Amino acid sequence: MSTVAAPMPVPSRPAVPQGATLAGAMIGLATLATVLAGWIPVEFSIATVFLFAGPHNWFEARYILGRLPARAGKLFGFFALSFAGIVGLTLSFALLPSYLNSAASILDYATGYAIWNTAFILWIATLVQMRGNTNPRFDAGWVWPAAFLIVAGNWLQPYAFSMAVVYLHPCMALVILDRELKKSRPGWRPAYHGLLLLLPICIAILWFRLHDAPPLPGDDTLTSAIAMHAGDWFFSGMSNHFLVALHTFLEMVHYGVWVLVIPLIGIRTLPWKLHTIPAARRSANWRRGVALFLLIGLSIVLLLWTCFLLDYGTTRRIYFLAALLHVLAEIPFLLRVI
Amino acid sequence: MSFRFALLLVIGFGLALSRDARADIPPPLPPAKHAVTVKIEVDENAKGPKLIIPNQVFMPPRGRPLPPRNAPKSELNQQGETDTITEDSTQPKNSLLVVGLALALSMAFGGMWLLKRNGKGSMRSFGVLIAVGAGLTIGAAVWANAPPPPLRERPAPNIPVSYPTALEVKADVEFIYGAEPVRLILDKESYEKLKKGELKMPEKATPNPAPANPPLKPAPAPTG
Amino acid sequence: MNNPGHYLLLMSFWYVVTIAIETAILVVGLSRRHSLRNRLFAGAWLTACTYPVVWLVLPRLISDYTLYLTAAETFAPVAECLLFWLAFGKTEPRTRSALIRDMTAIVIANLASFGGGWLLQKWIGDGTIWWEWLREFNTLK
Repeated sequence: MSTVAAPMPVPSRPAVPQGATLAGAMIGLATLATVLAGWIPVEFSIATVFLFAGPHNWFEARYILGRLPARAGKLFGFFALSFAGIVGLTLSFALLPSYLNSAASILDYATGYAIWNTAFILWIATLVQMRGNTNPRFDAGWVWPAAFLIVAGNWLQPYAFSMAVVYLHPCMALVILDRELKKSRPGWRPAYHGLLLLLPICIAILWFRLHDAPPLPGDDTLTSAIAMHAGDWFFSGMSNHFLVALHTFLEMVHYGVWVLVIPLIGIRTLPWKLHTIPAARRSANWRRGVALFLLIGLSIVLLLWTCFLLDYGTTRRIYFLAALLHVLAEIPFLLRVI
Repeated sequence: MSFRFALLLVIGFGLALSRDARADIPPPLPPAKHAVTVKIEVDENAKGPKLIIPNQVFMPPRGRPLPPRNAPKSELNQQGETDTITEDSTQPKNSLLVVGLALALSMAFGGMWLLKRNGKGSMRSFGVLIAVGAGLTIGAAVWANAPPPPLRERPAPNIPVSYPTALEVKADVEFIYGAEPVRLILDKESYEKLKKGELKMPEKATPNPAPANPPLKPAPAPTG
Repeated sequence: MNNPGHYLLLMSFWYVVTIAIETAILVVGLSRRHSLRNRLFAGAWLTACTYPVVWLVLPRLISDYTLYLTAAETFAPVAECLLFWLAFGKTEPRTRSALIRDMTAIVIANLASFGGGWLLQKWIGDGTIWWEWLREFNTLK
């Protein structure tokens, strides 16, 4: 007969629902963003861009590096077109206003932007097609009818398309987060999908509170620039208070996902630990190259903060021109993870 | 760490300064306007000159003019009705040509894909085709007939309107890209009137009117 | 009549009229190798592909009414025959006579829809009135 006493039963902790941390983070983020964006949209916009613009780009680059394969292989064409599109479209977008303003221009503003938008749409369509060619489970046949339909809409209202990109881009981070959860935390996905319902609720709150609010006070150039970025010149029948609040809210959600949520879930290690980056595992030289790339990125973040402090308006303008690069970079990456 | 974070937050919030900045997608220039009333007023107590341009001078007309309150929602228009959307500078030139090509390509590729995916001429393919067509038709109908959203009454600017007028003329207003100066170019006749120095006393101040509808008469095409 | 929305709405209306006529002819005229579903689909789809060119592209390029009609009524059947062949050309049994019959049916359908549309315009009002709308709108752009 055994003389060893049976172990005392340990009182069990109540099981934490899967994704509770994620839920808490997202609820907090959405609530804070809604309140601040609705209450002080311009100041909140200034603060969020200053604090998070640079870091979110860095974390995005770090995350993408962690997900890119070590070798392009069969995907060389895809990556080559992606790179060419990212650089080419960014440069052309930056130079477009100068060309359109010049005496040599043969295009009006609307036509110039319609052409750029068309190139952008066809670039995405080609990438989707290439993705479909390398993945037999992915039927990409729908992309060309959809792309040409969007091109038609773009030529009817090119500025509407541009505004759609401004407002839809922040949502890309949410799609990428969903893909990351599918890969690394599949049990959290149902909670995450439920949380996504928060966003239209927050937007509805902003709408009901602000859709007929008086225009934002302040006729300084920075306030005007922020309002113009939110499209108050295009949505002229809508309160620019609402537009700026909505845009700032979406940007904050975007920044929050990239700076906080995806690094915690997707990187799962300290960002400077390079062993999780496939390219860094190729060779010592590649490892050094990746490290240098990340260090340069970090320097740019610090430089950006300095420039914001010295001349916020000019830095903001230049940043958003250059930031198109990261917006475009998200697209091929999103196509790879879908 | 939390102190640094708080400091950054404070700096961020404190950055509500007037700085030069520009929009990322520059908005189109409004078209030139003809025969706009321009008044040169004299305020003896003013500290410096001021140029005030009401936004409705440069707000481009978008969509159809607001119908009278009691009018039914408009039907398909017949000829003879003027419309301001002709001069909408947000639409590219030759836009319908490209729209036509794009729609044709979309339909061609779409049909081929539906056939390949669902088998030859399945009812599902047919249904999708009808649904897309119906959607486009409804969209066109809404775009054609929907009035623009009611203009929100903006609070009246805090500008008194009771200064004596030195000159009142009709002028062409032209919008250009560029930096200062803002120029008011007077013709000889107007200049002579101005030189006379006669001040016309203002009428009794009236409450600011509600924002007017965009003009029914289409503005002429922009020059330059 | 210079609102793009109105113009597209008018185009949608005449599209429905056109496919009503053409589908009826294709259902009867196409060769036996095509199922009823194929015929119905072709009736709606072929016109959907060529209509935007006929209504939106050609008026912008051609100012003369007669020349425009000639170009449109040449382009539409040729393009539709090509599309039909790409989509359904491999349907068995693939015989020369079936192909000729299919192409003929498509040409007849196009001519019938043109004639039917012209008659309907005459009934509604001046037959060239819609052309004036087209040109008025397109010259403004």
